[in-house]
Amino acid sequence: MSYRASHVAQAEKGVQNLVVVDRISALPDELIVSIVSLLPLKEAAATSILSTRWRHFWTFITTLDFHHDVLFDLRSYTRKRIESEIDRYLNWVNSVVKQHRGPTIQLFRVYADINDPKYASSIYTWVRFALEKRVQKFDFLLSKNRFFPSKGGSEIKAVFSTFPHSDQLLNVDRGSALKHLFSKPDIPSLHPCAYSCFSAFSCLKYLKALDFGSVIGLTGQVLECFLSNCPVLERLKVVRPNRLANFRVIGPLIALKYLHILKHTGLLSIEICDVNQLVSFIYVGDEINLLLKNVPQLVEVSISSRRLSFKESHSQREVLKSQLEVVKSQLEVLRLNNSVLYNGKDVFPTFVNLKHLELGFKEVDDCCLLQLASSMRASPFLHKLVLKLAKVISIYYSREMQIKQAPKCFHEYLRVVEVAEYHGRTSDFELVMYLIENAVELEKLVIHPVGTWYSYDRRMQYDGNAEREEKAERKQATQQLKEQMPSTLDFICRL
Amino acid sequence: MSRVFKLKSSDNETFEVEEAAALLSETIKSSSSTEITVPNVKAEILGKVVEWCNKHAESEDTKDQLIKEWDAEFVSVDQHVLFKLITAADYLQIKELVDQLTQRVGDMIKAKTLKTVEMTYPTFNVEREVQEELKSLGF
Repeated sequence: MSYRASHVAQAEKGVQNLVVVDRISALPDELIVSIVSLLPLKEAAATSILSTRWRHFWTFITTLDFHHDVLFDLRSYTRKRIESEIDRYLNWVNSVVKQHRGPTIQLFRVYADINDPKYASSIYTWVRFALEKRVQKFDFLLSKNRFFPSKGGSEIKAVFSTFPHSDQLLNVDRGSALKHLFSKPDIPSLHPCAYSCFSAFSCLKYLKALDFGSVIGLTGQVLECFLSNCPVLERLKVVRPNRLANFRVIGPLIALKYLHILKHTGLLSIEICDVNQLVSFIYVGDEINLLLKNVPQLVEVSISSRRLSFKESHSQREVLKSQLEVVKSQLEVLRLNNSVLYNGKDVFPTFVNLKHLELGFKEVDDCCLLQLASSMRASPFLHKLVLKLAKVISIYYSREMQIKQAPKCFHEYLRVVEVAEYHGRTSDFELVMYLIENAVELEKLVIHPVGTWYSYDRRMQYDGNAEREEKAERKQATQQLKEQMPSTLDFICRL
Repeated sequence: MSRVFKLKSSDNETFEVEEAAALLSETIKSSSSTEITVPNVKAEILGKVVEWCNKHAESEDTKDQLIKEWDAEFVSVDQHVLFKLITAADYLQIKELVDQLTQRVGDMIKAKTLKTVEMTYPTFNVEREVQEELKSLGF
């Protein structure tokens, strides 16, 4: 486009956008407020210059996300830089909070440095403000986490169910609330923000979902305290807990539906008993010692363990086998990474309701076909299977490895298969072929893209040629697969 | 036996709507009659609203990818039509439709409006005005 033509086009677009603003003005106030609520906070406030009518719309917005580029990206900035921003940030938040006139807010998201005494009274004000406005979602971004400095700060996200119209909720005087902040003997060292603030305002009973990210001091005891004081808590998600070793989730007064513990380090001994509403349990971490009893609604279980020694692997496998036995007839979704449970020799239970299964192979094994076959037999009504093949590509991998053959096992219900980490190894190919031959009603097969084709060692050896070789090998692997695919199958290969 | 509702546009065209689709509208839900006239909304717009309701009544799982794609296409209309749809959906109090439409408007004006005011009125220094205003608001 010529210079003049592009200029005209831009001006036309400008007029168009002005017309948009004009049209918005024709809408009723509530709709304008909901549109302005969708904008980032600074832009929402900027709409106040558009006209006298627009002057106060932004003070009614329902989203207060006090996003700050430096404070919210705790990884990249030094403590000094953060500190220089804090005073201004505090003033900003307090000013906006003071000017807000709307009756309710849906989201309140703010950064709070709990190590800084300056913050104590601000936090009190903000929590009070948010509760007054019947906040639905409250996100705290806490300061740089000394325990995990490279992981940035910690986050606490809370979702509340609708608050009743009672002013008693807020009849807590500042003095007693602040006292509460520092004197909870049975909750050692947990951020005062999280527990004490909420309990000081007696709103724990409205807490519906809690999400802790990299929060220090979360022991099993602390979590159990939350569970017993939050009667409507349905979702609990804990990411990177540093001191969680034992956790007892004992009902029947617990409303928990989703329990997700991610990026856990060490051994977690967890007991889940009489939790009538529990639907989903996910664990991603090192090692888990699980005990399940009377969890009638549990339909989804994901266990992903890494870094297990041979001995640990073995004991974990036994634990999982016995616990899955308890829920075998209920499970609909099962994800097991790094722990293949059944090889050809085991007697395994049948998962009669299992529709979705994910298996991860830790290493290339001559028993992999047997393992796959056993898993397929164990889940006769399976609809979707996701296989994560071994990532480790050792230069010692022998292409001559003899894969133990598995007997045929026609599976009539399997419709979708996804394969990740397909490297074109003999074992990989045979696994896929076994599926093609035995999943007679298969409709769709997806091969996901692979990050690293060679192991690091081999890359070093073939410097320069590595990329070309890799490309050729991928192409060859794709070709080899394509040749074997029946025409009725929807085959998607993204190598 | 499900009831059939009759929605009348401002230009006197009538749309027949099944109960499941009609009850997505709070206005219709709380109305005592099965014949509702929607003032200020022409047939072209009312027809589209009815289409949205029918689509959403027939599929129970609103998280379905297909429905999401259909919805995304539904709201990618000309501004002109978009605002008329908002007014209609607002009158009929169909919360989800209003949310989808306002989200589209929000997306349209994000970060564009003020820049283009500047382009169209070159003597009006928007940037400075905005900074001053934000400063006075505590930003």
